[in-house]
Amino acid sequence: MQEFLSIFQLNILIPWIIAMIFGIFVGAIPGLTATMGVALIIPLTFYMEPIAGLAMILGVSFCAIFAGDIPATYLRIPGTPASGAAILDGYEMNLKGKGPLALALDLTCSFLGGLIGVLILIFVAPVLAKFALKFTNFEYFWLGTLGLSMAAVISKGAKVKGAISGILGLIFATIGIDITTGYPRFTFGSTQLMDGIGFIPAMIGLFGISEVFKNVLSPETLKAPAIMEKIQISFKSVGKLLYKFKFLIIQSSIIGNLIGALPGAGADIAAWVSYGVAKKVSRRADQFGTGIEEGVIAPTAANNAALGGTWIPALVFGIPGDTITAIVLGAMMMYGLKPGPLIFQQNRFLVNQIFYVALVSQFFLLVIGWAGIKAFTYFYKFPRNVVLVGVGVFCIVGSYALRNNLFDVEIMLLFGILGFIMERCQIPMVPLILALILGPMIEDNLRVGLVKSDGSFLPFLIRPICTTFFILFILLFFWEPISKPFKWALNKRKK
Amino acid sequence: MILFLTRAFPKASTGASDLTGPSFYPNLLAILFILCGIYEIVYGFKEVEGRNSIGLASILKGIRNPGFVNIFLMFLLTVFFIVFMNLLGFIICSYVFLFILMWRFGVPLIRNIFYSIIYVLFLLFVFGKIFAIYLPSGVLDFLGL
Repeated sequence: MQEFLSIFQLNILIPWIIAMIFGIFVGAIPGLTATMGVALIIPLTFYMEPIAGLAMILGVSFCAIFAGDIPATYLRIPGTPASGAAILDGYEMNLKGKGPLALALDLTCSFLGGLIGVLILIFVAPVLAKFALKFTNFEYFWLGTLGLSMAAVISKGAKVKGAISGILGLIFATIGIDITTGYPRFTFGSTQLMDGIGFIPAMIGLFGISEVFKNVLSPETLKAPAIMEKIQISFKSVGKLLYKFKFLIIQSSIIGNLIGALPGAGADIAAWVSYGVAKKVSRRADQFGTGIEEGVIAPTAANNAALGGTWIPALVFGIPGDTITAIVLGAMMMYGLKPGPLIFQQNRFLVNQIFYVALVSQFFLLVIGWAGIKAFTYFYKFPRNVVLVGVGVFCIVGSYALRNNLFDVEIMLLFGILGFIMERCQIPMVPLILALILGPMIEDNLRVGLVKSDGSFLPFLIRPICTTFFILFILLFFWEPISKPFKWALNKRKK
Repeated sequence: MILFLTRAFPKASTGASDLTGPSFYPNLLAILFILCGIYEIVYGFKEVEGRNSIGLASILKGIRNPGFVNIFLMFLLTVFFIVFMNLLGFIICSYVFLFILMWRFGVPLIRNIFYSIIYVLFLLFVFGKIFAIYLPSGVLDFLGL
């Protein structure tokens, strides 16, 4: 109870609510993603107590993911990638004159999905944490490798491109002083590189400045303000619809949460999978994409529920569930916190505070989200060229502010260019980001494990949990060639 | 390059031979990276077969695209920020960055001046005053901001 009351102190509450309003702004402006919003807000959180910073991050992410559905419904442009699936029926509903109903459903389903997602997080995470205490270096090595591999496989694009991105991130993570021997690796005599590559500047570069680069590449769209008609929200029929589709909401929230818990999957994949499942089990599957309520409910409940799921591996194993939690883990380390099973024993108070903040954020979302929908009648008139230039200067100041160091701005710029090139080459960025976080953990556990086993790789393969992880790893990358003979035999038998 | 650079790394003094030394893990990653690269090159060639090859003219056309000029300008202005931040100060650098880019992106002059000033004041207030981050004053040191 003390934890619950503590989150309502003004020094937590005020930045938290401001961050949620900022999240609505970020989410509803196409081109600005939830990850980018979190990356931009991180430098501000370093000057606060950890829970205030984490409340801001949670607030931004929940609001931004919801707000992405606003332009998706009205303009056919997803505000964030997680709103891609919401376009299909949301925009069609808008064309039928049911735009306000679609947005009201969006908001309430985001609230319910987020609530279910956080409740699963609260009940599942502590149980998993007890199990995770049995893990040794061998299991942690595989856990990190598996998390990264999953990100590489699930990300958009080919598996090999995902693997290239992941390996590149792991290579970047080796820059700096080697923890085991104290030897400086790949620093080229630079003292700035001794501490390794700053995670936050890299993050701001990959998600902030590269996104700006991508947007300014099409000059014709720069001046275009997304003006639209006045929004009138109708909540009258929403209650009835929510009751009618209660099982769909629960189903989509659970699917969203489970997918969110897979490292690298995130809210966008959760929304698409949930939409696909809803379509498959629906009696009117043929009407999906023509503007039906189920097509709005499924992705919007799933994308917010996924956010709760992404925190499960992040808190329990120290493995980020998506890019937002990847940034969160970096920030938590800078706050002096070490995510992992021990945090549930050593810092239970803070963990409970995080749970309560996530829960209360859903209720705040209802109010702030509603106000956000109303306010965006005016915000969409704000020209994109002004917003993008502002984001550019925020990226510079944000990365400088971390350590008052211009070297971090250089890192940000280089990673911005790298991110832009990767996107042009259709190489997913998510594995690179996860690798920057997971790299030290994977290397450390591999090398300590090898010292323990006197140079033998056998314990990495024969311990029961390790064997399971190893089989999963093989299946992840080689499922197609492995399953081919079986499929061929099955087809032959059918014939 | 990684394989070449790690040759200068010291051997492990404890534990299981070279496997625990500082070069083992980067070398492992480099080998995996090379294997993935070879796969991509082979598949890349297979995919490109039958398509028109990318000539110098198409590359030059792409570079002359106004969008690429925008990106190049942003890059140059960020470098300007890095180089001159301590000398000219945060206010001038951020104003130049904002003004030139908004001008390039077609924001009308009066609005451009107005938005640039608002942004600079906002950043000064949030980062400089609220979070007490040191933002160099440079040549405007006499203003005492």
